[in-house]
Amino acid sequence: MCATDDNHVRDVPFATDIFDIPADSPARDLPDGFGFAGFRVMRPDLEPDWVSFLGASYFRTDGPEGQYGLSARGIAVNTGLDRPEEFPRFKAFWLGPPESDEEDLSVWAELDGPSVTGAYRFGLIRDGESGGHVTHVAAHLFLREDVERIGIAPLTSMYWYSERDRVTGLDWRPEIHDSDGLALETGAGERIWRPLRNPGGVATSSFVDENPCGFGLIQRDRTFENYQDDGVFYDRRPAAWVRPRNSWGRGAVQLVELPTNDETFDNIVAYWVPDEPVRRGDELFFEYDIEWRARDPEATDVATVVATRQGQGGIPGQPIPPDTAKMVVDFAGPALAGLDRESGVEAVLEVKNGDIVQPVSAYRVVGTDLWRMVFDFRQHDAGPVNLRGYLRNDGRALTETWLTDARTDLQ
Amino acid sequence: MKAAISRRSFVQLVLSGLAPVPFGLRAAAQPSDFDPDTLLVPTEGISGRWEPLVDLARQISTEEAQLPEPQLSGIFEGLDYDAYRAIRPAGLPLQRDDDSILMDPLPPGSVFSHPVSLSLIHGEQTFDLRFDPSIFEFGADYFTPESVAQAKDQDGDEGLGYSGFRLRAALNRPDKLDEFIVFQGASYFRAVARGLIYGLSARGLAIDTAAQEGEEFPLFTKFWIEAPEPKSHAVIVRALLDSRSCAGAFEFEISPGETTVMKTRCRLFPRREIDEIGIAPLTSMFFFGPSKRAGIDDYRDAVHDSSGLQIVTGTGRRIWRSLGNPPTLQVSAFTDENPQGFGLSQRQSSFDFYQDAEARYEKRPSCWIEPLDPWGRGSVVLIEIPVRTEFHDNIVAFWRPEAPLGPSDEGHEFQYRLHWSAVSPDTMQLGRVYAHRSGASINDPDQRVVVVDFRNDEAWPDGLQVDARANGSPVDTATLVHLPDGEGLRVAFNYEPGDTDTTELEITLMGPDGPASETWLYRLIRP
Repeated sequence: MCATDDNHVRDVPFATDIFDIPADSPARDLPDGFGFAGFRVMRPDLEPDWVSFLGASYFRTDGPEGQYGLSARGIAVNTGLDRPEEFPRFKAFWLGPPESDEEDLSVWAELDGPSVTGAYRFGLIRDGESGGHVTHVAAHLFLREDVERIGIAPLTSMYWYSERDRVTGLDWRPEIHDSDGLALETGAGERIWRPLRNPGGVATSSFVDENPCGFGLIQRDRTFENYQDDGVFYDRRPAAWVRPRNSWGRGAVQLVELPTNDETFDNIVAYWVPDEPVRRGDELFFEYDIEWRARDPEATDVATVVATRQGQGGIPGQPIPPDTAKMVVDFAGPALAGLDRESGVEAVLEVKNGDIVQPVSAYRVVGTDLWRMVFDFRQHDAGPVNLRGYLRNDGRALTETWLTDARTDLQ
Repeated sequence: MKAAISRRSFVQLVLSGLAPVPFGLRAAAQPSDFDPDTLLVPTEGISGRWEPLVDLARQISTEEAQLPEPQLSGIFEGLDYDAYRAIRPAGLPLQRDDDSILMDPLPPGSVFSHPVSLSLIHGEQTFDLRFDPSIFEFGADYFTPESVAQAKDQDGDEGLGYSGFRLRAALNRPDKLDEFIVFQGASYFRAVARGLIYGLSARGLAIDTAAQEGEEFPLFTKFWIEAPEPKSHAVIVRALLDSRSCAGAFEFEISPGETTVMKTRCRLFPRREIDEIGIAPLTSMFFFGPSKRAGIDDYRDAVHDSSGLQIVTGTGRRIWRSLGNPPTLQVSAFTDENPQGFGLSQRQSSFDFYQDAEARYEKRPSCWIEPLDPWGRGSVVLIEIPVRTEFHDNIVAFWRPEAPLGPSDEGHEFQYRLHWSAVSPDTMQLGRVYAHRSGASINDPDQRVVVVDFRNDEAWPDGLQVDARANGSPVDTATLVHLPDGEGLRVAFNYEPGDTDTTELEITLMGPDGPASETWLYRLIRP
């Protein structure tokens, strides 16, 4: 750990006397120079910390509502493959003055791992113009080995269950997650919402793109009532929106979902994978911003998904059809203002590996601004069913694209 | 004078719109081929006023019950729910020169197979309403013209009869007549108030509910509907109740509005000693809510017509018993003397709480029973039956007198009001339970987390203490925190049932001067 200014570099040596340590703690016996685990940055006057770099290449901020949630990492190596993931670590930090007026602090970091090393620069902004903190990231990567799957700008989060799959949650709280969806703004400008899942096994989804405008893991639901946790406040947890600043070319945003049955461990990862294979000796450079926001940037011309719900299929009062599930997707946004049941709004749905049971309905929920898309679907085989849908009127998309993998049996 | 009018001339008066006529068919709802000539028949039976009705109930109670046989035939036989709903009745105005309140006789069919007799009282005269299928329109999607033509020849001679009736008035908008009450099936009836839709039901009487030998369902066999005073919507409905064990006379004075109030009296004449008798029964549905959500594969967050049994005891204690959908049938009795009121309430009134855009559970009424005379000692009884869908009522609440009701020449009279409204009329300033949440503890799956949220219209007093109990023993670990909305208070604790199958939980917020909240009760059952 080092502190720098324009001309000098100063070591910040580890010593136990800079910590409050309980009298009976074995940490009192740590020798000077042992080393720090990481660091955090406090607000002025030692008010609560707002950014923290701690463990492997992890870092996170407390977002616009002062509540830590999901994390970012410097790099992800071989995530979600059938062998152990590599966790390169930041082994040295230099903290120094900002490089521009909008920045509060610069952090340089040396990344080290079995297959990759890196030189990082972070420009940290507290309470930026997007409404939350911003982290500028510049990453120079040097490959020691061929890497099958390298994840650029990785985000790590937790999703146990939500309004979608409440049936699986034994807990008293209605929803438990740090993020409820992956949001994408593709290079072509399409807005996509992919609600997160807690799958039965490791699930990897790829969203092929070229020079994406942005992607992120988002906690769109900001309502206390939907979480009811007055201790850890999932409703206040930030979103992280990654905005590339140089040309990333062709590749895919990849989402990895791991099965979980608690809220303690992160089970969601999203990152960018370049098309080009990554070989020993390669040098890579990526520059991007991470915006720690309340939610993803507002879409200007389309309404967005508010909630995704699933349950057994069928019509009330009639026998429950086998192997059929009902999907209920709520949209909201100015693009839907003034429309009603007579406006000709239709749901456009595509399905793979399954069937949509007609009819599909789309209507405004009486007394609210919500538009609801409702349909039943059937699964062809072990699944999952791939679903993609949006609302349309007069040939124009009214909403972002909602897409998901689904199984008829959530349990 | 009315009796002197021949049926032919009476109908001519109706059709030409001339006064004075007691009743007529509402033109807009009149099927084109309807011939009302012989519909209203001056009665040869009793007038339907209270004293003669009580005499009739007393008299038949001395004989073995002669109950109407279930009867469905012809076009009314074998109908599913949708086909039955496609039969639409014409409406009869109840008032002279005024079609602002209509009575729709309801067709037989589907589960409604017991014929009832309907009579209308106007002034001094009572008219019986003859069963005539011509009063119905049969939806073309479900019925062929041939079957409809044939049906018009069916009449009451075959034992067919109306299955009940409903009343309509301008409840929500001045230009639209909305149904506000329906009497149909056994002794069931249900009502709504302004802005609400049908939810829970009431009944005239319950006998042997949840008894092993099976419940007895008394029937309303005859109704007399009395035209309201001009420009009034307060309709008086009287009914004769009959069943194997009991006969009874009922009178309901029904005033629809912001709260739909039914001032009720009943005189019961048991044919035997009845121990398991339920006065002023309410019937509702509780499938699931935040107290038990896991394992229910449904896109909605909560599905129930009522969320709690609310009681104001004789001494003024306020009780809220959260409803459940238990793994086995549960009977709870809340012993009391001269209760001030009880009811089944649907407290959560936001769409977000339920998420059903069609069933709109947030618009379902609460119903409150307010005794008007001292009911003495007895119990408010709550019965909770396990269900796996929302299509069967599984909640029953009623008053059970301590002593059995037996045969008596005087009969047993009970007077009460039913209040159908969005919230119960007990508005005493107190903390009120808003939600009950429960689930497995994340740290120890043998423990259950119990969370109860209270709201208060006014500021909470200082120095609140939690009085929480499990099977009567204090729970010392209960915490009390403010919710982020700044108004709600949350009581939470973990509870380990151990080997106990049934735990009665109880929470009261205590202020310096006594209870600052109603008392929350719940029966926790080990799955």
